[in-house]
Amino acid sequence: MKNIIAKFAISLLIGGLVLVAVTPARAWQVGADFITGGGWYLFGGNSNPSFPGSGPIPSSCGRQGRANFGWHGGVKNGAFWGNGNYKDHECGLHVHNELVRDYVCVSGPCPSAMHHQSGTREICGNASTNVGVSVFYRVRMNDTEPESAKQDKFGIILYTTDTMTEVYGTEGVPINGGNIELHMGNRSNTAPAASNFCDLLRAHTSVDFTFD
Amino acid sequence: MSKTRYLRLSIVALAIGLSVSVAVPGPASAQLSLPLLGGGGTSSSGTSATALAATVLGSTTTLASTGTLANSWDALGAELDSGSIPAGGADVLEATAIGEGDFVSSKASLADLSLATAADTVSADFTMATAAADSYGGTAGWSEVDGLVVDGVPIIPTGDVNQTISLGALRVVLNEVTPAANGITVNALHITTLDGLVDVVVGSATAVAP
Repeated sequence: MKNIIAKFAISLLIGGLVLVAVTPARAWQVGADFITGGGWYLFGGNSNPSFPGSGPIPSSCGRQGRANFGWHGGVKNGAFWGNGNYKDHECGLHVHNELVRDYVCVSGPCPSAMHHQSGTREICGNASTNVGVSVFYRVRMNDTEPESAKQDKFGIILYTTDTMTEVYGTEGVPINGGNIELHMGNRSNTAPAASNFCDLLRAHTSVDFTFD
Repeated sequence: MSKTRYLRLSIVALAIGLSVSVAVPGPASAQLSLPLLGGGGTSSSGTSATALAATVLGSTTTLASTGTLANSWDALGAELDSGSIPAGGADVLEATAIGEGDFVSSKASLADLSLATAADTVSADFTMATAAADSYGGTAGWSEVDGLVVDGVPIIPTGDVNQTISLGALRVVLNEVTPAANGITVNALHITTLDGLVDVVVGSATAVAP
């Protein structure tokens, strides 16, 4: 009897290892809706936590200051959709979306089925910068209803394109000004196949966003 | 025999694992099916947003403009890192227009507005205009202006519709709202010179009922 239990335990372990190997850890769903927003927030010091620049991003970036953003993402007619840009006023770093490679549902109803619903989405892809390097990015946006509560959140993390090393990050939890809106899914929200690019970048993240 | 039993048990264990994996709710990497959302018209002509538009000496410059939604389930966006107009410029410009079936909305925002005419200056840290309309006749609109300074004088937005400031040769309207029969337009800032040579709209959002 002990022998059978032992064999079964070993077999369960083998089966489990197979599952672990084929299933991405906590993979996110593709979000079949849109999120849009613009605003600003303070980071560093006594404000929101930040990840100062390293590697190709100047170390003077992301320490303490004000950031502005305008970003939107979603899926539309079978493709990832979106664009955006972000400015760190402390050092003048400007990040500009070049390619949206993933749009995922982090929390909240997925897709959003009503206009006024709270939720968090992540947009991931390639970006250019004004410091001479291209980067991968994760942008996380949260719409918290009611709007009057002023609790919307935004964060951005940058990675190198060769080793996916995390080299910069800031977030506004909540943002100090502006608005983020999660939009209800509609007939154009035909989702492409999952790319798992956000998951891939997250796996290379040591200091992650503090909000879901 | 032993290897065969291990193999069989492994298959059973894998099946159990897969069953548990499927049964336990959690994030999945599979794409969602197309949402079956009904309602909504097929036209929302006029729903659009523009981050910055300036007419100076008869010449018009428009920056980060979405164009008009093709229908009530369309989505449009525009953005620009930095943009210049004859009288100044701004950073982090963004505009979006989104259709949600029986509801449409648009918004436009920018940072670091800087304008200078012959005699006056205007700056703002951030502006945003938002407009929304639904197919049942409802409209809504609002704006946000942070860090507005006109000719060196800080201006505090009251939140009132059409808050108007006259300083020097400038007329500045905050939260300019223009209702229409089936929609609404909101301008976060509308700046004009008294001689009519400069007309700048900072953050303009229009929503027309689908």
